[in-house]
Amino acid sequence: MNAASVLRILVVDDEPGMTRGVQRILNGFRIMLPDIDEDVVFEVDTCETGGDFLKRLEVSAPDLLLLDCKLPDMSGMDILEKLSHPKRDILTVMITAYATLETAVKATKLGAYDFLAKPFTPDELRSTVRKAARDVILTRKARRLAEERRRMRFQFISVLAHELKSPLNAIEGYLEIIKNRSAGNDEAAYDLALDRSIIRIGGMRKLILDLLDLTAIESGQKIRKPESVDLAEVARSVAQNHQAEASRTGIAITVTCPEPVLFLADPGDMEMLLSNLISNSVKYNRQNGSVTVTIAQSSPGVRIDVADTGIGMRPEEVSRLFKEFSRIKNEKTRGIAGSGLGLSIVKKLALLYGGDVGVESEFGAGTTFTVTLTHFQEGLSSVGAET
Amino acid sequence: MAGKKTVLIVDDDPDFVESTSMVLRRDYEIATAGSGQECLAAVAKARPDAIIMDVMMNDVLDGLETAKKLKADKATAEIPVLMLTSVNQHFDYRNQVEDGYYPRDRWFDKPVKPEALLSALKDLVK
Repeated sequence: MNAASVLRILVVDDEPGMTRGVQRILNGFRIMLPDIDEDVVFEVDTCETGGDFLKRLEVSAPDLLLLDCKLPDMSGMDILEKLSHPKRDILTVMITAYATLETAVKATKLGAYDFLAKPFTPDELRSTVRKAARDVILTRKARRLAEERRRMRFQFISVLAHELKSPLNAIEGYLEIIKNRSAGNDEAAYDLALDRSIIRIGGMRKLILDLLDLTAIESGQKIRKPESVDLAEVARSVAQNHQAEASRTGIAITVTCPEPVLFLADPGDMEMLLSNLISNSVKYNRQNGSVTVTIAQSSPGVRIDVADTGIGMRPEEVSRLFKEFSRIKNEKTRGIAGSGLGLSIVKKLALLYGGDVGVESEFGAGTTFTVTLTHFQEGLSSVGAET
Repeated sequence: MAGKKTVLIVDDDPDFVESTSMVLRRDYEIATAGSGQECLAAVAKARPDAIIMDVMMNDVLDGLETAKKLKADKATAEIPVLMLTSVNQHFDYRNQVEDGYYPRDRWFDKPVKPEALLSALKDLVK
């Protein structure tokens, strides 16, 4: 059984039989909302006059209001009007003895959520309350999610700004040195300053491109068309693209898939996935090390393993791995350039294909990333920014 | 090179270390470190005459914490430390003045001109 949210209902009616009846029916009434994973129970309170209600309102407000149209001191409509200035977060169900279309329209314009015509059965009451409760819970959930999204976007942008500031500062520092001849006659220093500036610019470009890839996945704007893709072939092609870079440190990239591995997917997605994995394995590797890519059918989908003989990671480094901009920063990795977004992209793609990515690593020995994919999905609503 | 004072540059950005070194090494011996831990190890090995340290390294306030440790240890408390911050940080951390830690003129915002560091070093390293 799920944990339950407690909604406060206030019944405003001068007929004690009515209010007692409602209390009896709703106390202990538990609503299950399985599609949003929440249960609701109620705390029922009562009062008998409009004045009483308005006084209570100053102290605390209910979540749901069952309001009789005719009260001894004022009409339900008057109260509705008072509730709309200033607008409050209370769902009001009007209890009416005669539900004419006229009163219904008027009440709705004043902000009433629903109506219950007297006399009503317990089932009718429960049904109406169920609808209103669901509405309250959904609205709150939506607000919480929107707030969460805003907070995360702010944090993402803050980190991004920081990531771009570093290379900009570095490049500016070098250019000033060149401009002012601050290194005197040390010509090698000026050459280094130019080389490093160009490298840092490359890093910034990669960051921006990765960011675009990441956003394209999340926004669902990119047009993705599934077709039968031979993953082995894609892996070989990506390996070839990275071979030049790998050769610089003597690294061999091997793709071990004797047979074609067919999978229904967007080719661009698969290329992006393998490219990020292989690129990482080449970068975080040792001199004359190796990268081995193994792809196989693994019901219901496929399994991709990319193993390297690289520097490996400590357990606490592994836990931070898939966060955006998270880069393992230690003595061994200081010289390695990266956007910090590569694995984030891999993870989002894996999730997009109904799968996931796992990692096994031994510090000093090597790392293996395992990606499982099950099937192509159109929708992206499940792939949020919170991975 | 007898007589040249030593400056330890501590920053997780190797390009900052390199470019600062390019300017300072005409007047000082340069030692480098990429983290607080490396800084403490370097200081233990050979006491520098001054330290230039980034407040935030590897996404944590490594530099600030390391500066406090150096200050807390009698053997290293007197080594002048120039603290470097990124603009939106210094509003929070400049108020470390109360411990008599690092008076305001020892804080610099990045991007910092190496000449400003040279100037400060001239005053602090006697």
